[in-house]
Amino acid sequence: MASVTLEDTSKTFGDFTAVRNINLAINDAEFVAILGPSGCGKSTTMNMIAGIEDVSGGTIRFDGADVTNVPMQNRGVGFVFQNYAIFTHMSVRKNLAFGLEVQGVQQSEINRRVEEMAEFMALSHRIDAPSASLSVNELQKLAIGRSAIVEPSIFLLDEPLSNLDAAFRERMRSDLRQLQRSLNQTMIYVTHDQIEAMGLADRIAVMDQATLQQFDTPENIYSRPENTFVAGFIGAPSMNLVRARIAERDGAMFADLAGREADAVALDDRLSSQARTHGGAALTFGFRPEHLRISDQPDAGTLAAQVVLVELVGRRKLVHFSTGQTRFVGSFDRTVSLRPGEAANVSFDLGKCHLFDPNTGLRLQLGEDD
Amino acid sequence: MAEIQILGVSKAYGGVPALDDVTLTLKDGSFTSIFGPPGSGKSVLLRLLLGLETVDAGQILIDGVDVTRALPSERNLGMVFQNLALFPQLTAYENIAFPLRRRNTDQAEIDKRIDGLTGVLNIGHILSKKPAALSGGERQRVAIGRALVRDAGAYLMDEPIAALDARLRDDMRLELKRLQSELGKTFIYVTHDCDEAMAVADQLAILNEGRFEQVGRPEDVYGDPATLAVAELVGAPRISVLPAFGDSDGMKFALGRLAGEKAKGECLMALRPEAVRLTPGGKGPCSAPVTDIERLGAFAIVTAGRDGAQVRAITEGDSPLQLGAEVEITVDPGGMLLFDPATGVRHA
Repeated sequence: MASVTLEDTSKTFGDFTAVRNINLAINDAEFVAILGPSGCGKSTTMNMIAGIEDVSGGTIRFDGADVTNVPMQNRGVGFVFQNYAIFTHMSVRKNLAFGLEVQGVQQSEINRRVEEMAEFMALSHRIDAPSASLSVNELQKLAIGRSAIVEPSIFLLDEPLSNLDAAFRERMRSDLRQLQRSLNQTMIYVTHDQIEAMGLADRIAVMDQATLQQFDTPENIYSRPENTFVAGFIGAPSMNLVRARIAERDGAMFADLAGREADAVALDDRLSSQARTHGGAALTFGFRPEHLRISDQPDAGTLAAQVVLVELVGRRKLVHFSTGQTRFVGSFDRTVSLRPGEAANVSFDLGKCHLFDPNTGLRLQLGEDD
Repeated sequence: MAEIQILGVSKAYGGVPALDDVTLTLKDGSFTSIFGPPGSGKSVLLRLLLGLETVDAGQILIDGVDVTRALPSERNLGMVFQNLALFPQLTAYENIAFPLRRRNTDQAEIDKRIDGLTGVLNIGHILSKKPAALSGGERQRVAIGRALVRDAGAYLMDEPIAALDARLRDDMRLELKRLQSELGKTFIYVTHDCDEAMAVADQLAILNEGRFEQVGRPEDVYGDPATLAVAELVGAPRISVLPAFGDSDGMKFALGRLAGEKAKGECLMALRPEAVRLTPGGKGPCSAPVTDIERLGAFAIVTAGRDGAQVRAITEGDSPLQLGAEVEITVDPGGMLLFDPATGVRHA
């Protein structure tokens, strides 16, 4: 068990900056996901924590002690790779025992822990099978089990579930949550899949273009994104980010989303004060597909739009709307009856909507808790 | 334009059946998704359709003509591969023109065909660029363009957008659907992503262990699965499956009683997570503690259960439920499906 701190940590490869001045303080026994699109620097960040890559600048601390120049094998870090690196000529039992044998743990203790881990990973029935005969799903479980069994002080996982099929990924997420609860280890998990990050982590570090965009709980990342990148990256389908002309009429604030002043949407108190404080006439209005409602009658809070396309995605219906030059998506229960070509009065769950500065991309906030 | 019929096709490798007597009709101008878990035989079926491999038994007809033994070049099918296979040294334009040049199509015709595609694919501005200078989505559109530029009878796509970021996938899925309806061509789309399979297609075919478990409109396959395998494969989060009346007491028994008269004798009960309600402070026969919560933003997956019976429910993302809290489990009528444990077939 250990806390991990990155202070102004950077990594450059020649002219290319892979990671720029990252500051992260990961608590002891915390489960942190590093999330971002491919090429954002998330794997490089993890490799620096592991000691696979040197840092180009900054300091890395485990439990406060500077490990920036400590070689990988002396850092006490367990690693699970995406491409599992299992010894395929060995049995499941031998693979699980391997790390403990290297540590010189007593044979009876090894036997006990191997049986326990096989049981936990639901591999008991395959324990003496050669690893080469395992399915992809089983191999991945074995890879995680083999790293977890040596109880490293910090457990690093790099896209461990990316090769698995959807139903099994869901099951593995649940297993990993239980594993983390029972081992109580510090876990750092690199992924490009926001569902995995949301479902597993205590806190998520969202990265884009070599920089840290936000480091916060899943709830806050989802409901209070720092900027338009985080807002758009988290959530599927992603948040609608629409250009809004802001105008004040009779003391009330309105957002024109479709280029039709008469049909501008009345803002609530919170968004109105944000818009007033900012003062800009053009802002970005952000609303998630699941925070749209259909109203029977048009009123000050509704926007008239056309249904362009309806997609059935499992239990949800995704409805694509257009109005003026603006297009946006709504996510509804599959029982909603909306057909292409129909007109609809769309309203917004304003308490969950956001305004962003169109130039900086930052979310407008009045105070820390907003 | 083509109608494709797959009639009783089988294929085995070294005695292991990959496809076992499969039959499917793809109507002219239809959009069919073939969905199945890894190893279900999807790619084998595509290779047989293309003529890259030969069937052991059965027939393949295109517009009524038997092409079972025809060469790939005689079948007139367009194909988009998952790994795109663009030529790095050629511009986007030349990549798209390639299949036409190989057939000695004259330049005026090539220009006309590519012109017709640039609008639908939104690639006008990138035609002079090479693949290395294109984004993932742009490369994808070029690869699709290269398949569509040929006037093929039908277009086959093998996981065409699996390699893209989530957001780009959403966009490309829409593009494909729009493209298909504008062109009115027969599309066959193979994927292991069920949401994608449902969203694009007007006909969904579920392939499992070398057989079609069910073929139908996506909404019917989801709402009315014919077998337990279909119920488990289609829909995320996963459906919960447990034996009704499996024990003489305990949780399974209590949940089984929710099925009421419908449950006859031994049967398996599958509960769609959106139909399961968890009410705090449960004291009734189906009360159980919350054993797992996965908060995913827009919604949360909450698991509750005891005595080896676990049930998953979908709740609001900001549900106040906590780990260990006692809840009463109820199920909306219609969200409970009953299956024969021996055959996996749904009870009427």
